[in-house]
Amino acid sequence: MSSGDSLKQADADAKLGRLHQAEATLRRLLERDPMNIELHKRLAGVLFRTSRPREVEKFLEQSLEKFPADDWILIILLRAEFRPLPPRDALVDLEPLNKRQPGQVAVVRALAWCYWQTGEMEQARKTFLEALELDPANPETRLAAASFLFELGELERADQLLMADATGNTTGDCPALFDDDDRWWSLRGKLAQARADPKAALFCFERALRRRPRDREYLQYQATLLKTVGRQREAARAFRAVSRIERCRWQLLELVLNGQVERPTPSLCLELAELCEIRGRGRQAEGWRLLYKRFEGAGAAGRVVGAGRWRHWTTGVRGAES
Amino acid sequence: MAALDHRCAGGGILKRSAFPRRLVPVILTLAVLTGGVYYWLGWHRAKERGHSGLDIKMALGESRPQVASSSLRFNSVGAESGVNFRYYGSPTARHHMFEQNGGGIALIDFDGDDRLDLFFSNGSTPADPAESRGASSRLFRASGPLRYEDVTAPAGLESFGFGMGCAVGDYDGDGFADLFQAGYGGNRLWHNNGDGTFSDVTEAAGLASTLWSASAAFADLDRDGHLDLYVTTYVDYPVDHPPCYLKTDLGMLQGTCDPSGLPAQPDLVYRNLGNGGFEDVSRSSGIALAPRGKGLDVAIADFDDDGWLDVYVANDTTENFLFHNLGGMRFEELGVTQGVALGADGRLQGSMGIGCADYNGDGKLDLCVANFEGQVNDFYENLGNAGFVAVNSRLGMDAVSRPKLAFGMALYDFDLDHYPDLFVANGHIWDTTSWGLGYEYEMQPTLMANDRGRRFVDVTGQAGDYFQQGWLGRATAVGDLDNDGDYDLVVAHLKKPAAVLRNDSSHAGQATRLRLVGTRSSRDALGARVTWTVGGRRWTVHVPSGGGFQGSSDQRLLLAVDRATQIEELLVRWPNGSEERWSNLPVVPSLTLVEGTGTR
Repeated sequence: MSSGDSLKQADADAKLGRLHQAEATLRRLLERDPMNIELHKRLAGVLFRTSRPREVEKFLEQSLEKFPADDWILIILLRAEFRPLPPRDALVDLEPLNKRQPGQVAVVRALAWCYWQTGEMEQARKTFLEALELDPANPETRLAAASFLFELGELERADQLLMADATGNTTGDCPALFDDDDRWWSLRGKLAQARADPKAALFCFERALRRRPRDREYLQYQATLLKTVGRQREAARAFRAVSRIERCRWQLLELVLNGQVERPTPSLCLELAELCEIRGRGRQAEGWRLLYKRFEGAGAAGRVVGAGRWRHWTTGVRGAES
Repeated sequence: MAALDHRCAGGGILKRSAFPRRLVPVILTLAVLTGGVYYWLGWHRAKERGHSGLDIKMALGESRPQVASSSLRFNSVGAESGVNFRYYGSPTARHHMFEQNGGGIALIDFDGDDRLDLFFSNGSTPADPAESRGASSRLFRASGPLRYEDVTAPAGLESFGFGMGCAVGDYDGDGFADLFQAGYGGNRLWHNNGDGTFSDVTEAAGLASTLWSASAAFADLDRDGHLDLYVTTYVDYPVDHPPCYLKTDLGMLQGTCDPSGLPAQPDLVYRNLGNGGFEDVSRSSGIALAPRGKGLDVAIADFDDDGWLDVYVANDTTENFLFHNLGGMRFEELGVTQGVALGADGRLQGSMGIGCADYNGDGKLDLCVANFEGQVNDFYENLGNAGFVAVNSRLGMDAVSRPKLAFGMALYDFDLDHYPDLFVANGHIWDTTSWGLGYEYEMQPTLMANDRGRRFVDVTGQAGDYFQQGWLGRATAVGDLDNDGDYDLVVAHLKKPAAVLRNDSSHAGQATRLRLVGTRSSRDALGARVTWTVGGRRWTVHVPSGGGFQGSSDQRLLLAVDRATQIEELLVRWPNGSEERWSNLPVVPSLTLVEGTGTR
């Protein structure tokens, strides 16, 4: 099958809800043709549709390496973070999709997550179980299900999901399948905190921060734990850092929600670069700076960056913005 | 060479010099082979079972019930009680922001008969003002247990406008409870004349303001014996502000504006001059110098136990404030570094109501905050001098609160087991039900039982009919309305009548109702801390000042005493910082303690 045919097939799969196949095809095509921006866009859309914000971010940040000043990627990165599909909206897409094409782990996991977020806890539990039965060693599913159990206060059960390796045997350290994921450390930290072990919790959040140094949530937990163990000055410093990062996040949120991001001007590019930098998103910051330079080089004509092109960049979903 | 001891993972001790090195390769080879065989067996067995060795069914099996049953029950006594208040100005088609807060509630014993009367502040709408409809704020006088009569007109409280939060306090110390009403477009102070009537003294008292004021609380902030006043203000939002829209692929839906695009207003602090007047000290106190917040609720208490009352403010989409009282009517804002400005995950929250109580019996006042849908309600445990830590996940708040938009909040010991339970009034501001996506507009309230300070358990489903319906819940106030020794609830709604909820819970024990009367301190002793000992265990509560979201709750305290016949010791820290002790007090239904009659 030619690349063009494969792409058509991936599109057809996505339209029919065969997202697993669409994703596999797109990844395969990307291996062959990594500089094809259309493939990047389509794969990001598939990931977004199944409520996988971290994977969207990881994938598009990698895309930025290849297309460092691509306005579409930069804007979608912000939109994916700040305008994720509300869970109720996502359910409208995912429920019929799952009926039509059952057994796709990413879809089932996304469904479980949506049920959890909308308070349908027993439905969420059943659906997480279904997702794990489909692929017991899937790290994304394990992390999501463990977070769910943690919130319900089922700490031992959350632990089981986090501490078992791919074969199901319990390990004493971060199982290889999680690849030292910051979310694994964060969850372990929360579990330790819930068990009144602030020192262990602090250790875990410090490990998480090694992977994601300016993550607001981890810094906030770190600050709280530093306070708990009596390291007041360090705690105050961490709290202030969180406050600064969060204010930047809020500014970005407003820029995304009011649509300004979709019509970037040179000065906005610089502002976005600074906000991204403070939040530790260096690659995005660099991208916005490069876009600024491109604008400066192109003059006024180049400043009208495809406004509205990303309004409907996924298939079959309905977003709400406020 | 001296032998070196090395403790290995198994705890054994190897003496390096004695270990035969030639055996190392053999042992390593054996280990690799054995490990490989075990790995293969594990993998093979997992394959045979169809999934890995992890028992997924066990991990995600049926949930274990956290409590077999709950004793918490409330029954609505709405219509038969005589309270027929329905808020006017519920969201119109224009969806003005000031139509969303709803009215405030004051539990005020205005006639001094030791029964709580009810005041509801009413709203309006620019297109059809309340006055033209006779939609006044209302005062209901308690004529018997949970029986009320409307005395608005004879009391002189007929008033119209965009009324919001209420604060009750005897600001002039004459023994009669006065009433402050915050609002959009103007605040009001009504002086209680002591004869069943009130007089509007707003201008004369120096409390007129055109800022959008949402909630207020009286407390003696400078320890001079007079009640000062804190007023939270929200955003600049002119009456002719253009409409806002929720955008979807289906089109646009007109809805209430999001505050994030609107400038915040500075909160107001007034010093009571002791002559019936107040002085605006918002700037000199440092309150108005702090970064501006979009304030919706305020709770005042001595959070750091230094004898001075501090101020906590819930802000909508801006950081919450904790104003540490430095004395001399000076404050420093410490919300961020004390860990109460942001959510547990470091996010700015859309904060509405505040609950404040010692949830785990450690003697420190903790805080909880009601937040917007999609955000969890925050719960901050007080560590004392070290500040606060967010514990909402550990306490079981997150999954229950995330789908709800919470406004009113009450952290009170409803079943008299010493551990305060949590009531939350929920209801959205955007009616998106027409989208057909399952979004809720009216929402069920939430009731969570405190499991001995370890976790809060959702018992909404067992709490009574009121809890099985959807409401646009807003202001909340708590008090022993029928003087039967437990806390009842009053909840204001949009679009539906306010609810009076009688507490019909089975009680773990009994309670003594305590009234504090200050002499050197402010007469109402708002913010005073009471610590009492029964059965050898100490418990702490404080006289509420603010909290609940636009509500003013009972200033009398219910002290759970189990089945004891006496309170072994009762310690009061008055708002002026002084402490007094009473010993071996008999357990009686109602008790009044006057400052200066105990042991210092």
